[in-house]
Amino acid sequence: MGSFKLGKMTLSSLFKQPETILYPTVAKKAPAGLKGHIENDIGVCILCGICEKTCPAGALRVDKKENYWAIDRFRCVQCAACTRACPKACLAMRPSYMKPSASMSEDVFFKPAPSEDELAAKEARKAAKLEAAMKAKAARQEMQEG
Amino acid sequence: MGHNRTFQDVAVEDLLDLATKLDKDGWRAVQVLCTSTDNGIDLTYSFARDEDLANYQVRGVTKDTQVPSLQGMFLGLFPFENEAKDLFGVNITGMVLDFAGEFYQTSMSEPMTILSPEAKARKDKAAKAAAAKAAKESKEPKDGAGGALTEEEIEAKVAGLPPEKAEKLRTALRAKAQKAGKPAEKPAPKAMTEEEIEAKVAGLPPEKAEKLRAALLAKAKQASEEQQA
Amino acid sequence: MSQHTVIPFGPQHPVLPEPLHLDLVVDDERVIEAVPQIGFIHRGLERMTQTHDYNQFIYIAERICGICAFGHSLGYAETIESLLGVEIPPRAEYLRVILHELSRMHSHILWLGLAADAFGHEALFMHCWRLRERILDVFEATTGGRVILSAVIVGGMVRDQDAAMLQMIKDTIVGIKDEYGQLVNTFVNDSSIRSRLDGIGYISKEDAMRYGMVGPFARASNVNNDVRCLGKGGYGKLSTFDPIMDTSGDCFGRAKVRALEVLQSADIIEEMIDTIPGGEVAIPVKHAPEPGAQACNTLEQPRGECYYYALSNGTKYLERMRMRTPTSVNLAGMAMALKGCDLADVNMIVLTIDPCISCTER
Repeated sequence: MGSFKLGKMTLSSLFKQPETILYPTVAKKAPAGLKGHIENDIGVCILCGICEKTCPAGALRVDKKENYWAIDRFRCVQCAACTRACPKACLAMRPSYMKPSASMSEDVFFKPAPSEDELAAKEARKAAKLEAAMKAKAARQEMQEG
Repeated sequence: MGHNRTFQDVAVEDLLDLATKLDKDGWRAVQVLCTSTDNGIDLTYSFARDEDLANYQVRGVTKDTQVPSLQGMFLGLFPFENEAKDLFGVNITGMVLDFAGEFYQTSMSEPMTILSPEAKARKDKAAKAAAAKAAKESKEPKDGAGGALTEEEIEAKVAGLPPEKAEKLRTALRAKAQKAGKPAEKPAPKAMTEEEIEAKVAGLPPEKAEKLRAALLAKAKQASEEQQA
Repeated sequence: MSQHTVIPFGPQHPVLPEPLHLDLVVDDERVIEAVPQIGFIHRGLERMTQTHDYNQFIYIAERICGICAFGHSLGYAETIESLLGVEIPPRAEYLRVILHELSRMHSHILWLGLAADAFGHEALFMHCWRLRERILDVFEATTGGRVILSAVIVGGMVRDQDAAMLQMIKDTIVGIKDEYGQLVNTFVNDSSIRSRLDGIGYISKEDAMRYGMVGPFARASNVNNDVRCLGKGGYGKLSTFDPIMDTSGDCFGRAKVRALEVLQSADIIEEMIDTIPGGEVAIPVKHAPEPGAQACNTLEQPRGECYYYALSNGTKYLERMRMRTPTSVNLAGMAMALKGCDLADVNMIVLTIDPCISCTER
């Protein structure tokens, strides 16, 4: 007959907490670094398209003229390559999974039009840059003639 | 650190003798791989013993080359040789376990020799660039001997192009003329009139138009000052 | 008067873990000959180098197999680093070895569970996979994924692990050692399990060398092809490394080798965590390799020695990428081991080579 080798483990399983949790009543706490889904801070995004070229699954679509950034959640493999390639660091990986859905769709995010203050600030920056460039050119000319 | 790796070329005729010698010396067959090239298929046989990993490459195998099978000595190579036959169309004869083309049941024969459209486009572009470079290099001495291009020749070259490209090409040719030794016949920059400036910025988006207008105005001012001076 | 019947076995069979087809020529209950056939899961992944550049291809290399996912991304990254001639920081090497040995532990515990299921011991199967869940939780906490980790990039690692995380890895490993010891004790000492494993599928040392077998399959027949002995990368920094060998050459020997390798991996991980250096974990790699450059690389995956080859054509898209997995060479050994066994032992022998047909076929 032999001894019951798994006896100790079986007996202790009777009295320990079960290994499983009662999902969906109890949800598992997602660890902080979990690769769940991609989010884009669209205000900071400059629609350069580098993330679209980096994506190995072809899940991103960026259109600068039409002013949107779109992600096909079904194609995304949560590799986070886009978050590392983004020059403005506006993409981030959030630790929660997307819920199942009944139809295939793409999430499109339109970039909002810049507000009055932002426009004014942009104009001021441009004017300042132009003035600085003209001054530098004048200085160079003087050095050449002199 | 890791295996000592070597790559060597070997001819198809010597393959069987090489394999017999390696088998006698106690080498283990690692794998066989095929690479599709323009001159046919390159086969790479890898063998390992203790710390050494030796790769032997057979170049340019075509459909009518008969490659002897090594399964007699190394039976472990049967999946790779059958794969070579199915996916690359290599003619391997004398196999111990021969699946006669049915190992991978693919819908098209020799799929690995077919280039995808993106890869083909990239390859054509690279070939065109290489050909253009070679042509240019063979033409260069003629240009250099004849002297730099004059301004009329430059203008002739940029005649038919859109404005931004024309500007770019013009500056590039002027720079080249300067480099070729003859003092650059840089003409006095004509002071551009307002209409000419407006014509240039016509088709551009607003921010770019602003920038270009400002730059051209500054240049026009400078040119007119030089002309006066 | 005995007759030979041909029984087709697979690819869909409740006991087969992988889609493999065997034509068994049977005489009553004895198998005379077995002819394997694969090709049911061929996805043509090697051709994707034409549409994905070398940085994107690592995510494809990972998805060749679910169990050896980390091993493939590691081997691919090492090959490309060797092709480009870049050196990765030492901390990245240590982290890679830690995650790879964790991957080996989870793969072997998974295999022990499958072996138990194959000879009908479902309770043991469930206990093994329950312990494996602890390791998958470690993967999730450290890299963000349970099965496909995406933790390696060409040039190093994606994330650094701080001291708290490394301590958590150590605690988890120490925590499962006790229960794991009970499972190994069952495998080794239980008489009903021994009667299913002893003497089945015997392969001698000469045959093992002749068929070019690799991995624990070969080590059970006393043939050592372990690449970790050669000390590449982080493995060179270990104080000692002796591969676990066994001379019995049958199914029991292979089960014992894998069971003991889990404990050896636990020791390796603890040593690596104790001696890990500081520093960064990745260097930026952006340039294209030289045209015509080629590189090959070997790696000891849980199933054996894996060979990688890369050929470049001067652009960021590789001309040829080859991943040869250990199961491809073990198929011949398996076909030979099946000769002369009983029909009821066929699935046991197929399982003891630890088949990973999705890796074999890519």
